[in-house]
Amino acid sequence: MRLSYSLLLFAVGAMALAPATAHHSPAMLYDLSLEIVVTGVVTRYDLGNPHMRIYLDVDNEGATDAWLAEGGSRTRLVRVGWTGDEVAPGDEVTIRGHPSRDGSNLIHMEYLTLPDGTEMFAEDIRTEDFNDRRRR
Amino acid sequence: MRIPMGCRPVRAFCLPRWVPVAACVVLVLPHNASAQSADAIEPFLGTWSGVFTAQEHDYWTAADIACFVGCPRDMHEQLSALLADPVNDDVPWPALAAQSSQAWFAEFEAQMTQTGLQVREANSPESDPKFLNCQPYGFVRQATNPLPMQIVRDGQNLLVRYEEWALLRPIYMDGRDHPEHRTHTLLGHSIGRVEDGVLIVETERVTSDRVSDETRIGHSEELRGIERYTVHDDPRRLEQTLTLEDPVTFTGRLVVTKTWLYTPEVELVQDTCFQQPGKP
Repeated sequence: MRLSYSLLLFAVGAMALAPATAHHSPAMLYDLSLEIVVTGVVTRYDLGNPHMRIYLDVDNEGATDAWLAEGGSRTRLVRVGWTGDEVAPGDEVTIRGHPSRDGSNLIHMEYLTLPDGTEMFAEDIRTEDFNDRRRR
Repeated sequence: MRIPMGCRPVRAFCLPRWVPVAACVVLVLPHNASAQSADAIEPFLGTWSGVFTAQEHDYWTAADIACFVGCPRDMHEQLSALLADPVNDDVPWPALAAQSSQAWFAEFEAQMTQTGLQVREANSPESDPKFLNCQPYGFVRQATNPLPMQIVRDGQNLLVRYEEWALLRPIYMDGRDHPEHRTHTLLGHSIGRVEDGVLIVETERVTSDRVSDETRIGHSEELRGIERYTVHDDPRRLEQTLTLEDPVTFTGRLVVTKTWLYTPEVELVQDTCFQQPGKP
């Protein structure tokens, strides 16, 4: 188990509104201008409403921290092929997303890397897909 | 037009020629009105989806993403104008959305009563049990939710099947009024009618809840919601305008709009909810 924080400053400006991402506004809980990467062992996985969730145990220099990763809405993910069997307790996964605003162990999950190395988009909408949809 | 029996033109009393015709029209009108009433519902039936579900459709722009759970029309128009301005081509659209949302927050802020301001200050994502737990939203967030809905006939009435939380919402179209005494509920009591092609739904008796996550605004049990749904073509879509009146919370009317695309190919997915642990 290992913890890897990669704080990457994105040139996305101040995203006070929840662009493109979640069922609820993730900007209320998460700092969308930062990205972190968390690797840990799954303790629970729920493909449920309002958001898909993965609970993780993350190694923090010998101590174990409990983390919660929130992804997209259940029915959107089911429509694009998610089944609820993507991960299971005991799996080591890597999650890339945005950190919580209040410093708690929450991550707004955009990408999930499975034990076999497969990376899955775990949110409802890719912000970048709408970069060119500016005018009619 | 079928002329009813016994309604033949009569000349024996030297009536002007238009009188019997007018009489016939008067007799026939109630039948036609009844038929129109039934057909008037037809355009609204079917499955309608927001930008989350139908995101591949090229109708949507980044402004629709920003308004995925509804927003004031002014905000959508302002953001659309910013997105269309070549000066902003190098500005990430989320930054433009943030700029437009400030106008939204300011507009709502100006319409809060003292109580409304206090409620908003007390609201935070973490204090909303519905954010973390298995508890469906109230009327406002449900009516503008991002997932598909299916509108079907239920006798004389309408039934809205929301994919979100797998909720059913009856809309009574049979001419009844709101009941005098009724317990407030999550979705309240809705009565509807079609006027000039617009489906108008009035909702009362709603349990106090939040209006949106973004604004953190709440509402009291005095809330009255008026939804107006208009069908447009090319592409076929439903334009929803939701007007909120609540003298306890708002000094004026809050109005949000949302667009739903007609998506007959979409089947509702069964929503599932788990009682989950809170945040670590």
